[in-house]
Amino acid sequence: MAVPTEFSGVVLSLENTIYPDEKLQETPSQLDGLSKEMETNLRIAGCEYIQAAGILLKLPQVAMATAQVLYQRYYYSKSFVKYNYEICAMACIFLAAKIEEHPRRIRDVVNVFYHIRRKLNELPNKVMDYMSNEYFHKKSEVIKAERRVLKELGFCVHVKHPHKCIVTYLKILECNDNTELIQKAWNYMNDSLRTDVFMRYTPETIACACIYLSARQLGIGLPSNPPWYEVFDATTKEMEVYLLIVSVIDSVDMLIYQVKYVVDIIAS
Amino acid sequence: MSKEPYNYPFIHDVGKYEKITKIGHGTFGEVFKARNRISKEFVALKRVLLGNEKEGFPITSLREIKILRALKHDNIVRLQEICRSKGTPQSRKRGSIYLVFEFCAHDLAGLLQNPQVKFNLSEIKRMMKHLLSGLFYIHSNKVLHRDLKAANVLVTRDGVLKLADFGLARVYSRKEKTHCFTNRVVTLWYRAPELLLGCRDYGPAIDMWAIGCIMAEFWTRSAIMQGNSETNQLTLITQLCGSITPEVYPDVDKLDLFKKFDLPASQKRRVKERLSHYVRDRHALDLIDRCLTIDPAKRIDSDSALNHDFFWSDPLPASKISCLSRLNVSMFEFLIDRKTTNPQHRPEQSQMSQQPGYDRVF
Ligand SMILES: Nc1ncnc2c1ncn2[C@@H]1O[C@H](COP(=O)(O)OP(=O)(O)O)[C@@H](O)[C@H]1O
Ligand SMILES: [Mg+2]
Repeated sequence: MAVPTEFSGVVLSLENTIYPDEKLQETPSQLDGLSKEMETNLRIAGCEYIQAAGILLKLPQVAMATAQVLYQRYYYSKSFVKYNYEICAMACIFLAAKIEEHPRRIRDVVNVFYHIRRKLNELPNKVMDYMSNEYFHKKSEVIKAERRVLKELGFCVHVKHPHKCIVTYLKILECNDNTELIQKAWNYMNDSLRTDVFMRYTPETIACACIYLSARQLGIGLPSNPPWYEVFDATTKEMEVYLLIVSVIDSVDMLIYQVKYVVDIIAS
Repeated sequence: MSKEPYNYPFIHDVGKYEKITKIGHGTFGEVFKARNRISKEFVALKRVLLGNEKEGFPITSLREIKILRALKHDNIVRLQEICRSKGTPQSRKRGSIYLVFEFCAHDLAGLLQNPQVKFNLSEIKRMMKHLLSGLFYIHSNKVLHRDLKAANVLVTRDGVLKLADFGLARVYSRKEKTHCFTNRVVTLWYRAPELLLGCRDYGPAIDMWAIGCIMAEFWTRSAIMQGNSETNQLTLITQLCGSITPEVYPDVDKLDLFKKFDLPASQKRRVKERLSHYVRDRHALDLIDRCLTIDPAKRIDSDSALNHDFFWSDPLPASKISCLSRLNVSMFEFLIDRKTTNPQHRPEQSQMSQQPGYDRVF
């Protein structure tokens, strides 16, 4: 299926789009005067919202993953200053649910975000008023945002996830019985979604990095001469940069747990 | 590993094309013939209906775009780009999204309904070969078309057939055994028996059934089983292909609706017998017969069909279709006013209207 297709001169394939460093440095939001730190926070917050909403909407992880990648990519074309991050997060999960063949009603998406927001603001639970102007307005905003995401990404919204690569590689490395290793690698992969690694690396490299980190943590030795990951096309340099980025994840762990806690309360 | 360019295809304004005429109207959108204002190249614009889209961008269009972008083959209609029109806030008009396709001069339904268009055996072989090559390609890419019928097969001026309308298409995987697909796909007249009986884990065989129906139409010139309800369609199938029983279709009693329908029993299979009046070639008859096999597990697949003697015996598939180059107007089903078709050429149709619910094509 990964046949490259030509579109008005631009050769495209279903492979993921990789951004050059310049594009990652000079984001539209920073050009609009937003600080780098604030932008990072908004990226993380949006992804957390998506993750939490996805769990409440009983979506499979792949839908949340797609939504987070779309969300991240969109804000390399558009600015957080001009386009509300919460509406965009809603639009991304709404769209990703359809892309991954688990469509959810727009009403449920709006409702779930409403609940998460009330929880985060420590407000008591309340049923959303489906006759209210606020609800109608939100719905139409989400639909408009969905169109903008599609347009901005040129309808290239089908994301290739490293989940499958992880499974394949562990099989080749004959580690596919080690459930602890699989689980750890999987968690790393889900956490990476909050960063821009999906714009920097191919799914294959990300899969290698996740395996690398997990094996190191669990003290599992993998072939090092030559390094096992080179077999899967990842270079040592790429792996090093990746490790740096992943260390950022640890600093946002607090936020992640905060949201996870909220989700647990709502879900129970 | 090659790094891809990071810029996404730009979504141009549809104004770069000049609309010429409307050539189709379906459940999922309108289709226009249009011309690129600069290159003067003709295209077909398919508008994604968003009007009262309460659930945002339609999932069917997302699938259609995903699938069409991944498929690239001579016998699959080519998606050139995606365009949009801006909404105007004053008139409260929402913008639209258009899929831009290479333009094809005809659709197969339009051609078959025109009595002046005549195909000889070797031309039919060529067209069937194109159809099956396209289908083999999509099936090997794990895509089901799910809406094959003559109106969704396009024909270029050079006589190349292209599968179109992927609005109902879906990706399937052989590994996942329990599909929860809707069985309400495929236009009734082309719907395979397993779909009519409520099967939800169907596969490529449903497209092969439709191919069998289309193939017969090259000779009969109209759909061979024109049911007016699901029950009636099953009755027509039974009358042509014989009774649907666990003997011919072992798992049929596990299907939801099998016991619900009170289908005619002990009907003999008469596909070859009844079609032989139209289809003189024995290989052609045999191929149609194999496509119209009741049990999907025994129905011929696209690969075996391409290797069938039909394509490998004299006369061999033609290298061109002569009558098309003489046609200077486009034949689209939508543009044909049924009332003006001469009833003498279509006796089966006039008879049809007198006795609804009975199989009269033969
Ligand atoms: N690329 C094309 N070139 C010429 N005609 C086309 C093209 N695409 C569609 N059409 C015409 O428009 C009709 C409807 O298009 P289709 O893609 O089947 O959409 P729908 O889902 O509305 O049936 C077709 O039956 C055909 O007559
Ligand atoms: Mg159609």
